[in-house]
Amino acid sequence: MSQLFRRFLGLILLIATVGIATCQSLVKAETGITTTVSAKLKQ
Amino acid sequence: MADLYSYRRNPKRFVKQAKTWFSSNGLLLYAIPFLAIPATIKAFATGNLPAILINAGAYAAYMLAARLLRRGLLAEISYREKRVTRAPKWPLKTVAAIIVTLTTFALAWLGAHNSFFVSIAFGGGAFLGMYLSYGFDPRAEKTIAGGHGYTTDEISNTIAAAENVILSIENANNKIRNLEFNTRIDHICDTARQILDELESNPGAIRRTRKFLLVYLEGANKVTTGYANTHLQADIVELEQNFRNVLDNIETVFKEQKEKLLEDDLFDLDVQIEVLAKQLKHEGIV
Repeated sequence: MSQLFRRFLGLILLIATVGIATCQSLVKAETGITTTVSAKLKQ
Repeated sequence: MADLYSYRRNPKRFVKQAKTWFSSNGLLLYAIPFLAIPATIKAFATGNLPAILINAGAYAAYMLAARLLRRGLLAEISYREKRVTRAPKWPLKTVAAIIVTLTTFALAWLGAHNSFFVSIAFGGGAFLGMYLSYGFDPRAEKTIAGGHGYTTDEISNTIAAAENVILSIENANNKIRNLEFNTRIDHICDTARQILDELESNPGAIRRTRKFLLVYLEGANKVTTGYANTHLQADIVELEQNFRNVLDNIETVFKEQKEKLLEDDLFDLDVQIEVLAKQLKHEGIV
């Protein structure tokens, strides 16, 4: 695997995971953690 | 943090690796989690304390990881440039990767309300991304076969000390407002770096080089610093001429010393160092 491709893949992974996690967190920032915990318990 | 390059005028000894097309030098990690800021603001607006703590904490953790990563990358550059050195003391890049992994996991689980296993996938992806983008810290000690009884620490400490003295001479040179002197002092520093280069590739010369560096390089440092501090206050022609004479001596003997070092002419070198030390003492420099 070339160094360039490796770095590019790493970049995509970082943006995908960290970016999406923060984005989802932004969307769900108004949801209380208690709601989440109870929803998970119901599952 | 002091950047190794910022003080160097003439980084000849170092062979920089060409940067890859999208090398960000670790700055990217400062930018990617920026959405945690509006997330924190939104959590404040809706009065959601856990979300405030999670988002603000995640952002702080990412910033810490980015800072550690930058320091780790600088340490790695310094490590790669040297022929004889120990591995970086702290595995900063690895610690940064672990922080990013745990933070992404926590953010995906508690902040984004994903399931536990999906959150683990987020963390794993971030870890893999950090590894592929930046790699982990070098751990191997770089040494040269046949160190002639000197440890890696002794060799790298001697070189580091000499480099500091050269940097000090260059800093003093920056204060001197005389083009002729600036050029000549630059040339002296070049020669000193060539000697260090020789020392790195041939640690057997460390015994001779150490004495040379201690007496001569330190002498050059003292005289340059002294002149830089006094020549602006007192514009004395005699002082300038004295400095010129000393520079003549330093240049000549420096060049000779380099040649002697390369030729392994130990006896002659010792004698010349003694003579030079007396000369510097006579001029009232050392």
